[in-house]
Amino acid sequence: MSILVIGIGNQFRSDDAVGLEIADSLSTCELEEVTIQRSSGEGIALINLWEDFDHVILIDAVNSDREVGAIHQIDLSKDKLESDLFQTSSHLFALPEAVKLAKTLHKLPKTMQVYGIEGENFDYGTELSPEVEHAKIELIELLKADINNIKTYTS
Amino acid sequence: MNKSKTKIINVDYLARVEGEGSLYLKIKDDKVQDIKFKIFEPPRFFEAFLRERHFSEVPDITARICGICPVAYQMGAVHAIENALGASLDNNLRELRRLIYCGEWIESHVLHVYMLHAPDFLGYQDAIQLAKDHPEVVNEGLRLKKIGNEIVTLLGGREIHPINVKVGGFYKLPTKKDFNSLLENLKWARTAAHSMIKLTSTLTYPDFEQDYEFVALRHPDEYPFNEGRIVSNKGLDIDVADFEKHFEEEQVEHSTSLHCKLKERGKYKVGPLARYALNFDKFSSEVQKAAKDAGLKEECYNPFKSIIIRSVETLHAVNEAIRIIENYVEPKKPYIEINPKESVGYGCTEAPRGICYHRYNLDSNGLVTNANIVPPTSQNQKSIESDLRELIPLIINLSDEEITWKCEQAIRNYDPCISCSCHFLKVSIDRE
Repeated sequence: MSILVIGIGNQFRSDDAVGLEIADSLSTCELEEVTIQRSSGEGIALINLWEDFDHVILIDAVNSDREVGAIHQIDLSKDKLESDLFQTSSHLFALPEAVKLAKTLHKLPKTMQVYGIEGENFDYGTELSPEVEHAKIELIELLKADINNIKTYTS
Repeated sequence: MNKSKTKIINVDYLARVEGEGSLYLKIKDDKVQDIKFKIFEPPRFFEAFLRERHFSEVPDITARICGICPVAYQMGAVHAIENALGASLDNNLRELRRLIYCGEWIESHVLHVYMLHAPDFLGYQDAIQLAKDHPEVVNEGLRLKKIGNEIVTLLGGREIHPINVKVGGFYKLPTKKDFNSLLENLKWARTAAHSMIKLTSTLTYPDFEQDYEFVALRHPDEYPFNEGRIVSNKGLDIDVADFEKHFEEEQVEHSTSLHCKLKERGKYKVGPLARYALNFDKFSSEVQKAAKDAGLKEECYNPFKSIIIRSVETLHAVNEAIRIIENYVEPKKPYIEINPKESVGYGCTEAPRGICYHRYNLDSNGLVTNANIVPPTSQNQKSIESDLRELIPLIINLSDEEITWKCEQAIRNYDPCISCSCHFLKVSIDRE
């Protein structure tokens, strides 16, 4: 059993940094048997990161028509990842493409959960919007529970 | 009387290039009336951010210019500042600087060849479609790219926006033991790079050669990464410090990225084709043979064949990394001490996409008073537009969809890094 958590984002693009900030917070929690990584979201690097793990959790900012701070949860064993959700990346080959390519090459882990926080401001800056900050704290607790669940059902 | 026919092709978002760009074509009576390779990535003002910053902060700030080629910006910055402050690194530190650049070339070239450019030649929309029919090809690309990432991570502290490069050397040095598993992986990569060259040599290429002025670095002893004179195949041979005497940037209305040109002759081309043509004699005999077996001569003027040359350069970077690691002697100190003084320094290195020029003016406290960075994509924009102007008459009878694809492919020949090139915007305001 191996668990990887990847926070994705750009720390200088306001709400886009939320995935990285969550990864940083989880790094200080000393979670056993959990590896935490930060990523800019470049797709091939993501596949390289997750290919040796059984259980992967990804966290990124998203941009859809839901209210700011809304938490999206996508279980890739059941749900499809809509490319439109992750338009915040400037990468040509980002998370949605990485998931599709990994699926084709049988490089998806046993389980993969994608969490997104609806952002509002993706301009240059280093502050999160208040709603995103609030959602960040909520998601950190959700993730700790999620990680414990993975440990329980795999042990 | 024939009716005149005007056709406009607009590609709003170019796919499989890094950053945000578009293309506008106006064709009248089967003749090209107007071409605009438009860059609308927001300007990023990096040179302005650097003002009043201490020289020690510059490598970490410039690494942020690009997620694909951060090492190129760090190397340009540290070499320019070391030039300003009269610092000279010992050979062991110098070799490590070359090694981290090998990592960046491997990861950048492999990403472009396998994931972005090969699908064009093989008739696939993208790497995902390619992977369905040829999983072994894409798997090989993924593994090779990972090895490039491992080099950058080991020397740079992390694979994206590395933080271990310092003016005067590195913050922390690897031990000989740290390289053990990497060396094993690089030996596999050498075989993989040979098959990458073989694969790209079997693709079908259009008959399309252009009379380019190639501009690249040239070093007396080695295929260039960090050092050399700036030379061209049309007589240019200058010290890096004289770059701004011979080149100038200009603003064009349709791009947030400045266009760079030679003052005397206008457009020129930087990148793999230019490096290759101006430095073929610096490759090892193994790399020269692999290039010739792939059907290349010592110069190549067909931009579509840049995919083969990127593969040849990948083999060179893998071999160079093996050589440096096998001969590695840990330097006594990770860096040399450098004291500030009022000065100006120049640096130019070979980013995967071509030469990247830096100039920094420092005050007596070591604060940056002025900076100028000229990335490779800015330098290639005129050449990209010129290629399109020459290509379109040859493909004019194809459908709009096919013309669009061919034009996108021609732009991808340059592996443009659009987000890198947009860090300055001149704003003009007319008031009446």
